[in-house]
Amino acid sequence: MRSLIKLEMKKMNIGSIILTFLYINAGIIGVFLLFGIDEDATAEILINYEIVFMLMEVFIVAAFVIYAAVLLSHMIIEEFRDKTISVLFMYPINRKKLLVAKVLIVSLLTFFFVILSNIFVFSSFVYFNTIFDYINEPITQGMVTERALRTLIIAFSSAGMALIPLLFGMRKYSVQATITSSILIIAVIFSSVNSSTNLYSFMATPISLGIVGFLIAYLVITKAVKADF
Amino acid sequence: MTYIVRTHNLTKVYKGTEVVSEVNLNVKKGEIYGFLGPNGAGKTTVMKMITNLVTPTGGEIEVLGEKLSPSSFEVLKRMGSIIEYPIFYEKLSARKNLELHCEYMGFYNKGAISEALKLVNLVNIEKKAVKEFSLGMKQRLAIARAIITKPDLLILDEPVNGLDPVGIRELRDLFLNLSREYGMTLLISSHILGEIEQIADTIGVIREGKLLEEASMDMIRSKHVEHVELRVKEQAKAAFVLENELNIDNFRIKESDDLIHIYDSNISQNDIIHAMVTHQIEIGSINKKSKTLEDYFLQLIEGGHKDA
Repeated sequence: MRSLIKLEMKKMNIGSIILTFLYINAGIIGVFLLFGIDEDATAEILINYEIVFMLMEVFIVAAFVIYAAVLLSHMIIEEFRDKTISVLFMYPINRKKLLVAKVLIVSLLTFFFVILSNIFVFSSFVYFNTIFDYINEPITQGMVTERALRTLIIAFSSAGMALIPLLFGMRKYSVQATITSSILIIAVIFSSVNSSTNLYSFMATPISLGIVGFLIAYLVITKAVKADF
Repeated sequence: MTYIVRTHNLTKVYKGTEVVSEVNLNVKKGEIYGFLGPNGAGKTTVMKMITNLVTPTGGEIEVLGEKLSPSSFEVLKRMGSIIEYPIFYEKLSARKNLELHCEYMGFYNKGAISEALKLVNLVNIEKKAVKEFSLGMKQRLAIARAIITKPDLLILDEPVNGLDPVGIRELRDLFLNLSREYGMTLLISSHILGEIEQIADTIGVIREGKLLEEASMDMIRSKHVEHVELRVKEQAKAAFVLENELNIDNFRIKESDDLIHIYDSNISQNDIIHAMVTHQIEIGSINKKSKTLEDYFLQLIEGGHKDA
C-alpha cells in the first residue's frame, strides 16, 4: 500500500500541492489581518477567542474540503473520465488497493492540512494580536487543550467529509459535480444558526459527516471494483 | 499443444443485448492470432474480458494456464496490452509514463524503456508530454509500453490504427520479431485484413459477437484455392483440349481477357501445360488463383455462415 501511495504521489505535482496549502494559509491569515483596518468593526466582531476559533474553523475546513474535491477530481474522477483507470486496472494489482490508496492520500492530506493550518493560523493570529490588540482575553492552558482536541476531531471529520463529493462526482465522472458538491456541502454546514453558531458547531455534525464520507468512499470503491471498463 | 488463451462459451450481455456470445477462442503458445471482425463485432469486449477489465456474463477464460476470476490480477503481470486506443497520462512525458508503467508492473530494468522505444522507432521524444503526440506516435508509444516487460502474452487491439503505410510495415516486422525471437504469443485484432493475413498463424473471425471461424492460415490458404487461371489466345482450341484430352468440363471461358478459369481441383497444372504444349497452343500464363483472405472474410461476414 505504501508503494502504491508513493506511485500516486509521483503522478501528482507535490510542489503545487504544498504551494496551494501555503496560499490558502496566507489567505486566511490575510482575512484576519483585514480586521486590523477598521478597529471599530473589529471590536464588534472579534470579541473573544471563541469567535476567533469559530472563524478559523469555518475558513480552514471550507478551504480544505473544497481543495480535497479538487484533488479527488485529479486523482480519481479524471482517471475514470479519461479512462486511464483502465490502464491501472490492467496492472497486477488489486483494484481495491489501487483505489483505497487514492482515497487515502486525499484523506490524509486533508487531515494534516487542517491540523497544520490551525497551528499556522492561530500562531499568526496570536502574533498579530500583540501588534493590533484585537482581543485582550488571556490564552489559558485549558483553552488550548480544548482547542487542540476539537482540532483533532475536526481534522478527522474533514478527512471523511472531503470524500462526500465522490458520490456526486463519480456518477458521470464529472469534475464540475465534484467541486460544486463540495462547495454546497460547505455552504450548508456553515450556514449560520445565529451569529456565533452554525450546524458545524454541534459536535455531532462534523463527526457524523466524517463517517458518512468514509462510507461513501467505501461504497464508491466497492462499485468501481466490480464495474466493467 | 499448449494454449495461452482459451475461452469456453464466453458470453457478455450488456443491457439485455448479447455483445459476445459463446465464443470459444484457442490461442496457441508462440503464435500470432489474428482476431478479425468488423467494427462493433465484439473484438474489444473479448479482449477486455481476457485482460479482466470486463467481467463475463457467462463462460470461462483460461489465460496463461490460469482460470480468470473477477478478482484475479496476478496473471496480468505476464501480459502486455493495448485496448481500444492508446491511453496515457497526457500531461506527463513519454518516459515518465513508461516509468510509471514499469513500477506498477513491478519491473525494474530501467534500460528496457529505451530499448522498447527503439524497437517501435520512437526516438528523441522521451521528454515530450504525451499530449503533444500524434495518434500514430501514441500508438507506437502504447506498443512500447506493452512490450517493455517482455510479456508472455501480448494483446493488441487494432494496433496499427493511425499509422502510415511505412509505420504499418515496421510494426508488422516488429510483431513477427516479437513472436519469433522472444517467443511471445500475440493476439492482434484488426478490421484491416491485409495486415493480419501477412503475419497471423491462426485467424479467428468474429461477427455480431459470434466466432464464425477459427482456423490456421495454412488451412485457410489451402482450403481456398479456387481455380487455375489459364491465359491463352486460342481459347476455342484450348477448350477442346481441356474437354477431350483432359476430360474437364468444369471451366469457364472469359473471352474478354483471353482467360480460361478451370475449377477442377483434381487436375494439376503440369497436366494442363503438357496437354497445351502437345497441341501447340501457346500459353500466355498459368496461375493457381486462391481467394484472398479478404474475399474469404467478406464472404463470412456477409454470408454470416460457414461455407462448406
